[in-house]
Amino acid sequence: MRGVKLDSKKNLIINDKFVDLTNTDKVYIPLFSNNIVCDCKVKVGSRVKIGSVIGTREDIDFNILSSVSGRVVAILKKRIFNNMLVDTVVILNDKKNTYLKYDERINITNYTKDEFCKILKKYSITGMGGGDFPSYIKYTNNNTTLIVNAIECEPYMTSDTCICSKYAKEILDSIDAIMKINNITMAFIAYSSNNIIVESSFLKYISDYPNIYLSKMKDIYPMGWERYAIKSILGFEYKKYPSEVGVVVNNVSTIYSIYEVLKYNRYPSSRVITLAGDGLKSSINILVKKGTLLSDILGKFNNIDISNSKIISSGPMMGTLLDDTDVIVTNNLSGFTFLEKTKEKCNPCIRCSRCIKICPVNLLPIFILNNMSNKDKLKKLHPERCVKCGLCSYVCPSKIGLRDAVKKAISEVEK
Amino acid sequence: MNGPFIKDSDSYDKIILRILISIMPIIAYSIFKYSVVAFFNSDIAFIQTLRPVFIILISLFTSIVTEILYKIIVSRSKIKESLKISKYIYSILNSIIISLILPINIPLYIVFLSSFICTIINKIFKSNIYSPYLAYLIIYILFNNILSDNYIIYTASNVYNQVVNNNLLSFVVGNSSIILGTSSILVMLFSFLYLCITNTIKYEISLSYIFSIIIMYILLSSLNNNIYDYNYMSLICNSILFTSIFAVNDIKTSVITNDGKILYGTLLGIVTIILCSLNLSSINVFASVLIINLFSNIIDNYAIKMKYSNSTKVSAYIILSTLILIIPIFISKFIL
Repeated sequence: MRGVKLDSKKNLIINDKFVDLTNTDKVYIPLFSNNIVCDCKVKVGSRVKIGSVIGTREDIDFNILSSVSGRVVAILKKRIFNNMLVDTVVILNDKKNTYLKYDERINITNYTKDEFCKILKKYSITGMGGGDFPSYIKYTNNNTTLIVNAIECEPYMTSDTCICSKYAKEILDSIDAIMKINNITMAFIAYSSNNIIVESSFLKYISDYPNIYLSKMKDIYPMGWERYAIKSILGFEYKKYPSEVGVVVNNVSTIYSIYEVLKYNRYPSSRVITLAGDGLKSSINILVKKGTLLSDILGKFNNIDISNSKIISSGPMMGTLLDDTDVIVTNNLSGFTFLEKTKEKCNPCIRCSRCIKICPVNLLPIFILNNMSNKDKLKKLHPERCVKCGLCSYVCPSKIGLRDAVKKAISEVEK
Repeated sequence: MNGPFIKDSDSYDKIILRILISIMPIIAYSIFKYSVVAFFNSDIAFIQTLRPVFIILISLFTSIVTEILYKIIVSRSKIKESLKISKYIYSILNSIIISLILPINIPLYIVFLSSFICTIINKIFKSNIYSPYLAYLIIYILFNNILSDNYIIYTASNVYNQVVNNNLLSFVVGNSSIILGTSSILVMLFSFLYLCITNTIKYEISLSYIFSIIIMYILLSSLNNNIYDYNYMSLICNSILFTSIFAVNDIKTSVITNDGKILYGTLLGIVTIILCSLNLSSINVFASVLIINLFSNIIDNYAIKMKYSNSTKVSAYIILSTLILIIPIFISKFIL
């Protein structure tokens, strides 16, 4: 497996404490899910509760839900994590936290597989590790193994670690329920070998769950990539989807969201994100409503000065440089990294071949860059296979922006 | 700019610096062998024992001065700017390499000329590691009578004596060459290991080159009923080993695709064996590197085809393997 050992830059002294900032004044719900534009189902002035339908993705009849109760005050364009401007529904929070539906269950395994998939769809559970893929689709297959991804290999990011630390018992209950409902025979919680917090959090309870195993992974980037996790734990390779080999992979935060759905029959309206980086005095985990603006979050802290920092959505390896702080926290965003502004000099390629050697999907990044103007040649180089891990740019001694080039090539090929 | 926003700290200068570091044990050993050991074990004058130091220093000094003059005269840089020696790390490396591929008994003015030509080639071809080898080729043509291959014969007989007299350790540690840089097989292997561990060189090229040569050498020796061909053995252990570490895997001009590296190394081995069969000399080793390097881009483009077509890949490796088997037969039938 190709990868590099990165300085994780994680403040692993962080325990289960996070700052609760869910009492926000406004949220901005993007009408956008898994790269698909959704139809708006509310009007300005509409009253909504937590879990009310705001929009719908028509192709799979998948809803976008409200994360607060209140009144729709506007529909306008806002930026999301990849700098894309999308239509958003602005909801003024009445701060009453009224749920559309809420009933607590004692036995969270008391669901059929069909009911389970329906409830995941009803509460719009999507991958929180970055994919934003509707989770119910993964469970429609007959899976035998569940891998819970708590690897969090992006430097600085600790939101998953925080969730594991605070809700280890609930996560294990959720995994157990998912296994029983879906007839899954075994589950693995994958975590990085240097993350002692995740390990110690689960070790307290793991003996009560005989078919759930802790799986310590190599501390390399991009170990969190599901293809690597499956290969490392089970030794399996697959062509397109893990379901081909009977495996379902979920991020640990998604698993906790599923717990909330199964236990309380309500929409999980908030998520934990990390604010970290050299541009901050110390990293911090915060609980926010989905749809909160970064600028509103930063406004709550008097001691954060980011005037000399560049702002990156998510971690520094796969993240995107943001134009400003007017960015929405979406379900699949694990945090923001603030790094000092530096001027980077890019030199000509020295043909060291490191980008080719390191690419986890065997691409030829430098050839893609050199053939940018030749669409036929570009197609033959298959840039669409890129997983955007950024390793090619990371290892380049000439500091060439190869990941950007491959991204550009993907759009060229798709034209 | 979409990242990643953290980068590996490695750079081109650091890579060159690591190659320089890897050469240091080779320099140290050659000075030890030709200065210290020579002083205590022979009757030659003290000044003569300092020859290795003179050769390296003259080469280094010539290169730096040429660089400074080039900067001032051709590039019209300010004198203060031109005197920053740290900018000439590439030329420093090349000047050391050329001093290491010259025989110990070479007249010092040829050292000066070699380093000068090497630096000028460096300027023309923009920091190409092949400049020492190209410079060597030019010097060889200009001073053929001086740079004749007498020392190779001397070396070969030395190898013969050591292997036959079971003094294999001495052979490996380094008493088999009179070229500064190729004195010790062990030290060269140590340098190679360092460069591999630090991810500095394209070791796949070196390995496929050495392996293809060894296979063809064994076949050739067997076909000629001469299992220990000491001339070849000497060349493999000295010039070819040195070339495989410091020349064939040049960062800037050698191939970059994974299959291309194996193709490149193996084809280079085939060309080396053919040229050395015509005339067993280190000049042919360097010439083969220069020849095959001209085809880097073609090999890379073919390797891309191999990557996405299994039939192309299989046929390429079958052809390559066949060539490795046929070439020694061809050589023994028609050349030797």
